[in-house]
Amino acid sequence: MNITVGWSDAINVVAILVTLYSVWKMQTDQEAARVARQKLLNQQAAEEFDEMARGAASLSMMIRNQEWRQCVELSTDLRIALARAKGSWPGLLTGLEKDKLEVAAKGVQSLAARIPAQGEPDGELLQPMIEQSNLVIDVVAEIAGRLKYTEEE
Amino acid sequence: MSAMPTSIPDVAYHPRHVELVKKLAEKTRSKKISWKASGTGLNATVSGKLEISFVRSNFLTFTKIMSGKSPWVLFTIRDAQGNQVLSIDNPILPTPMEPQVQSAVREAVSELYTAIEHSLAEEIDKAIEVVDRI
Repeated sequence: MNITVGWSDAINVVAILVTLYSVWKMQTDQEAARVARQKLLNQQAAEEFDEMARGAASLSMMIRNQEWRQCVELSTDLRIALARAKGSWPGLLTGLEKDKLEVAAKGVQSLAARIPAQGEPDGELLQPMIEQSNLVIDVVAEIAGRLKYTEEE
Repeated sequence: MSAMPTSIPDVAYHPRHVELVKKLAEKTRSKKISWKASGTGLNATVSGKLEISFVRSNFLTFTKIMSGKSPWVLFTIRDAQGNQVLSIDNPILPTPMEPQVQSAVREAVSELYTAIEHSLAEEIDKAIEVVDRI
């Protein structure tokens, strides 16, 4: 039995190989695009959490200095940033990190409620208020660090 | 068991929640659950089906001394899909509208936290033994 391979068969084989290569290339490109998108998201989130940590550090300083007007402004900004982070990055955070974000959001909320509209807060409250803002610094900085580390992996 | 948001007052917790937390403390004491500590977090996985975690404060020295309060701030149990099974908070600054109540479930969580602290302290004993053997 004779098997004859003509030009048209060769062209068909080449066409199949080109198609397979295109599919493989497309999948690789899609994966590369997905990884790049993920890195970009992580970078954005890390920067936002870094910014929040700096905001919480300023808030802690203002509480120590008992500059209540600035405390109101900073705690409001921080509340907005934390609420936005809860909505923006749930897919990037682990269960424990979601808990940390919840703690930070509730912590700033309760801090804001204790900032006096006029005069001074109860003297006994000052230390727990500083502890609360320090905890917010810690939790958001830890999340920023983990996101940054993942980004550089 | 249904998801329980943190804002629900303590009275809403079921005795079964206390039972669950007490069982976790027992298993921690008998070294059936191993906990990992990292910064403000403590977490453990139970049979790959439950994820348990604590958020804790490292800045509670003053408050702790003054009130004998445990430094955990939030305790959460999640199922394998990440759904919250139980969540209990122990805020540093309770809001004026929601005064902190020492409920049975919160006390049980504090007991669990103490059991974890003891189990983590045993790691130091092991390290001392290793150094002694040199």
